[in-house]
Amino acid sequence: MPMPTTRDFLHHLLLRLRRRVWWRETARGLLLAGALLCLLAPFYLLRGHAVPLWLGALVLLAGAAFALWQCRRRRPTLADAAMVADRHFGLKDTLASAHAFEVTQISGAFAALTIRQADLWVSGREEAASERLPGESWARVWLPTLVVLAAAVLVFVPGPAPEVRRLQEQQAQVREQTAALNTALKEEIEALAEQLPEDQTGLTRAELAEWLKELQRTPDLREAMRQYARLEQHLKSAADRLSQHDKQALLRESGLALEKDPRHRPLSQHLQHSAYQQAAAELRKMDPAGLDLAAPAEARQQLDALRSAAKRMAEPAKRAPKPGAGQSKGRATDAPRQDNLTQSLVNLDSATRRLDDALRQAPTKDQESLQSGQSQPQSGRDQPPGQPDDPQGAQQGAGQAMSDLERQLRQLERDQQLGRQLQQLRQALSQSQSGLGKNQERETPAQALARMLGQDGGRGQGQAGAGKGGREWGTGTAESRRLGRDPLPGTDKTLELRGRPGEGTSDRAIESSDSGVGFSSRMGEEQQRRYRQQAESFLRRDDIPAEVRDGVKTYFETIQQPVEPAPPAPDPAPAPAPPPAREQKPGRV
Amino acid sequence: MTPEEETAQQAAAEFRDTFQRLRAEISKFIVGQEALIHDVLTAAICGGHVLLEGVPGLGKTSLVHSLAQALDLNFRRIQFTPDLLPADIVGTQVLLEKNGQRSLEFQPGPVFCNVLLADEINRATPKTQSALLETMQELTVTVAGISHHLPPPFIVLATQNPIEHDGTYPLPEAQLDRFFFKLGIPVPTAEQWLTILDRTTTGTPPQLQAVATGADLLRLRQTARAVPAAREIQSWLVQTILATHPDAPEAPALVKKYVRHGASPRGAQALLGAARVRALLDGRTHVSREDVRGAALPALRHRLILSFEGEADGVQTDDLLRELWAL
Repeated sequence: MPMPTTRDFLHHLLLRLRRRVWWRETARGLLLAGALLCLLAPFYLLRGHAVPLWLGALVLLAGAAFALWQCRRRRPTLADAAMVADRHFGLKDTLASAHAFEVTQISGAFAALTIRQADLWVSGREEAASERLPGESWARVWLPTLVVLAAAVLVFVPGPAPEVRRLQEQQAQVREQTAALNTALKEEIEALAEQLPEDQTGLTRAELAEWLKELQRTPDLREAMRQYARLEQHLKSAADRLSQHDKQALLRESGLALEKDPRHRPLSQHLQHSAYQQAAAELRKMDPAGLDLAAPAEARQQLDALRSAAKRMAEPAKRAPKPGAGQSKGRATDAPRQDNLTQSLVNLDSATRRLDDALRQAPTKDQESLQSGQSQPQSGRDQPPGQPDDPQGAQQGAGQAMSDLERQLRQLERDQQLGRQLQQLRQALSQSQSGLGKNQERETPAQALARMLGQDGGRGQGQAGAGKGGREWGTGTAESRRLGRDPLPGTDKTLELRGRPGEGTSDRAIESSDSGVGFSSRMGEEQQRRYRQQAESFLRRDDIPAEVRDGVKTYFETIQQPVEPAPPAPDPAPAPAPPPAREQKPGRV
Repeated sequence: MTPEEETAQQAAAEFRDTFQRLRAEISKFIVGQEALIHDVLTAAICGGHVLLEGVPGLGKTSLVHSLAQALDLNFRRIQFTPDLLPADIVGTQVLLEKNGQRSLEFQPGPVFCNVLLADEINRATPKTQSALLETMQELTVTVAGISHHLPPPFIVLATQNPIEHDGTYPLPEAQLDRFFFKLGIPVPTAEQWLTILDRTTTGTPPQLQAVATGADLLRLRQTARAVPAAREIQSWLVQTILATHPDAPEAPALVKKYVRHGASPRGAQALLGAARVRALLDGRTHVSREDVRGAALPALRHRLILSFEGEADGVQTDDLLRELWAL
């Protein structure tokens, strides 16, 4: 077996030293991690929280990083090993000097003697390499570490306080609910975006995409409510942009004017009920393109219906103020739309009139051509199209005017439909978010949204409860305003709203009805809706004591109780008390 | 073992042997004071000068005389007084008439010797004290523009009384720095007192024999200079000496507070030289930290200049050094 040299000895010792440093620094790292955890834990425990496991992992990581850094910083070298050995064995720097002389290659007899002396010592002390080195007291290094680690483990034992646990559960619930609700909302909005035509104005796909970006999953109930409130505002503003009350009012007026002519009752009904698609189809039946210009007399008879309809429809348009006149600043943007529709109605009227005139003049021309002996057979054809006395041009002009009106009616129908969808989504969102943060055993907010958009979406339109005769109100709210007359469901009566169309919008819609006893078949929507919103808002607040909320809830349930109609009496009897909503303004809601 | 190693081993053994013989010879006359003799011999071997500090009557002059006798060296003594002039030390040119012609001739002063005892050096004026500067450092004397070399070896052993300050001129820092060691002479123990009385008051005083020569001393010096010091040891030495400077970042708070100036590079040279001698005497052929520590007090105590706070608080440089070097 070869004699071990000083270098071998020092290498062996170096490994032991490094191992010792590694263990010692690991112990210190753990000690640091435990101490950090013990220092940080009170911040959680005193507030009733459980110490999170991630904090433990974090401080453990910090301790490991510290240990690694220290191991690297304190990594012993051969010179360190030599110094430790010299100190431990009392060699008075013999090994350190011998190693240094070898490394730096110091020549000289004395240096050689030192190296020889070191080798001699090493060869005579083979067991020295495995001798226990000073400072290797494991207990001194690890005992404090184990004590602190035990204390650090104990800080994980206490769980969260009941209040904190409830709050955490609520946050988790809100997080899940917002995630599900956001997914449902995204699906709805994306479906809405797919339906949007490319030329749609007032609402673009980019705008819908922006709305989607604002939806975030959050555990914070207030933040969730805020983001849904923002979305509601977006929906409302978009719906407001799409709603074109002035055009609807104008067309309703036109419908009323048409009502006088029995031939135009269907068209009148469609226009009054805002069924513009059907109105456009009805209008198409009177298409002047089908007129036989070769038989002017018959064509005129056929044209008479269109002529009459166009004239009646154009009457309100002609009465309407000119664009810009009497318009408030806020409605200035609607002026071109109204102008287009008005112009279309007037154009149709004038076009049909020109066609009628052309047809009326047509026989005279034939007779003249016969009398001239076929001298100018092409004279009628040479005239430029669009001239009043050119039946073909007039026919084309009338066709174009009708197409333009049809296009506007379809656009109006589309905007109306989109606005309804936005309102429906907004109402569904408004209803569904009330369940946020609550333990929904039966229905989550996302399910509520889906239900309201799917099955009971119609109730969100503010329509009357089915078959209740107006004794109860619907579950949704209606933001749409009505002008003109509305048919009363289940009756042959209509409800007329009196306002002043064409002079800007009003914040209030006044519904007038006949005063008298008994019950109206129409619910008192507006007042009741306001009451309901206030009640819901109040009942949703957490800072109100439960007993107070119950009291308010009971009150509103009491006043919502349907009152049975009084039995018919032969003689005038005192009328039963009307519902509270109607008591505010009898006869006016 | 190579021949060079054998030669080196023999030189080391001779070094120890000569040193022991010298110490034993001097100890015949000087009772006790083993450490003092050791340090004086160390300084002599390293070619350094020694400042001896002690009250009168402790054997300072006898020690120096004994050293010169043991080494068979030319010994001179100068009693420093306030009226002593530089020329009284280094020599001067005198007008001589030979064969009817007059010429100026250099008359060497007492400094031209091997062992010079500058007794009570702090009693001379600074001008006279500074006359020794060149002599101690360069081992030359320059008079009238002509340099005269001193015969090697040349050792100055100066003494000063620590308790008598009237009419004294403290040595300037530059001159203090030129002393290899500053040694204090302790008061002998009672037993040593009795021995001194026995040796000096009865019979014939002991006669010292020359056990070595000046050439031997120069050879010992060469042997000591050949002892290597590992780079780690030298670095540690430098770091520790730098720590005596209050401006150094590694200086401890005590040094920053009480020290105005730290040790100079001459201090490091003296320390390493003394450590080499100690290593050889310990039977080693390399310098260890222990050797450096052992020489720290005599080599550095006069090189640390205390600050006002240090002087006011009565801080001793020895205490500072013990704190700094963990002695």
